[in-house]
Amino acid sequence: MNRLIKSTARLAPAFCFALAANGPLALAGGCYGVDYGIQYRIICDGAGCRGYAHHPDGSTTSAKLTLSESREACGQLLESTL
Amino acid sequence: MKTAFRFLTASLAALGLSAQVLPSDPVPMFWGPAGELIRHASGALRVEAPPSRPTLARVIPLAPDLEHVHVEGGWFWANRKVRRPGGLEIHVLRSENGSQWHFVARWVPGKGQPVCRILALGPDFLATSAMAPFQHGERQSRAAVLAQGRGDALHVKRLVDLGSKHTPQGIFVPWVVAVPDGWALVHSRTGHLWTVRAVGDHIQDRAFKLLASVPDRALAGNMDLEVAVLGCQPSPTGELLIATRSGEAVIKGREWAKALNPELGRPTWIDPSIMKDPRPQSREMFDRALEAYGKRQDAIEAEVAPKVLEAFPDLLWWEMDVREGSLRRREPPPGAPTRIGSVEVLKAFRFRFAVDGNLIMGE
Repeated sequence: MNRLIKSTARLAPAFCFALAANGPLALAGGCYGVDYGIQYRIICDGAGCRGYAHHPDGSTTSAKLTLSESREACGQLLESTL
Repeated sequence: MKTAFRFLTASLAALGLSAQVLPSDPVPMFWGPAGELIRHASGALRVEAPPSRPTLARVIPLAPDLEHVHVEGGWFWANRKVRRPGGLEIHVLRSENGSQWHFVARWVPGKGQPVCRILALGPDFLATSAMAPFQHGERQSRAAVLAQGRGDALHVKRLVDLGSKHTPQGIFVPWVVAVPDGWALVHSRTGHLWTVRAVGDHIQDRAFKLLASVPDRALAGNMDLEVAVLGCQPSPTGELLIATRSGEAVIKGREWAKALNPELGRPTWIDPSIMKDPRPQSREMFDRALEAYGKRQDAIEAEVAPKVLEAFPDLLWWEMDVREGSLRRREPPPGAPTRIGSVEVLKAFRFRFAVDGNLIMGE
């Protein structure tokens, strides 16, 4: 994970800054949160951004996201949780 | 918060979730009143001047906290998130020259009023939300027209109809492309497109579908599709030039990819007890498992993507007259390709117009 965070810093400084500065659910290269027992993460690295959903039964799915999709989704998630 | 996460659920949990090759987002560009071209470039706006007005050429640095900088009605516009003791506000700013910005209006997110991007639209504003919907009465939509009342606060004037039976769900971040008197919202993943324009004293919104074979239910985000739209830019005369994959590629591409490697898009399994364990070593284990899953999916995609592209290489070109509301297939512009030759080309696919109206591929 540290590698992910470090490499993300090259991707979009404004995105990383916004996420790092926005509260407890922020990660340097993405964001995460939990709802109804499902844990969500969006992680960006040098290869792009990917969203993950972890279900209570242990199954995990994911989808590739564009940077703008990740930025907007994280912005809304973070603001919603403050 | 719960609403926002429910929409994220639709995006991540319900999707078939293969790892499509995503092309670059188009660079936002706008045409000024004197025929100048204004485009985003590395934290700045670059103004390209027409030969008749060479003094218009300049580079305008942008403050890093300005978001969604755009041009409308001869003005520069931007959003800025401002934290107040009562919560977040989104300020709409306006500038004559792109350097000095002035407060115009505020949007206070709350119930039924999600965090959003706000674009000038005649006397009103167009807003789009990535996940939670705007609410107006009993209805909901991811896009709304906002108006300023007596004070400086914005309120929902009306919703934009993005479809009654099927409407976008999941993460919805359409490209916003400037068109005469308004905006085109382009859902690049499905090929749906809406125009919202301030015409006279009313708002005109129209819905289009670039690829007839992609069903409207794809808007729900639970169909596994190849990305449909590869580029969309406004021409100097206001028409939109659009490039898409073929309908067959969008519908069948993922199916083809999964036939090549059934592991593509398959969920993984991580022991739930690890997720619940707050100890750092468990968190580290969880992170490593997640990273490995993502990298494995990326590797599979890298393996199958060239074969999918080889099977469905066609590139279609379209022209939309937003004033007339007409959409038609067209021949590729001079110098533009009719096929996508490689995954690298697909990832980097971009085009834009130069100030003289010529098309530039790769920017």
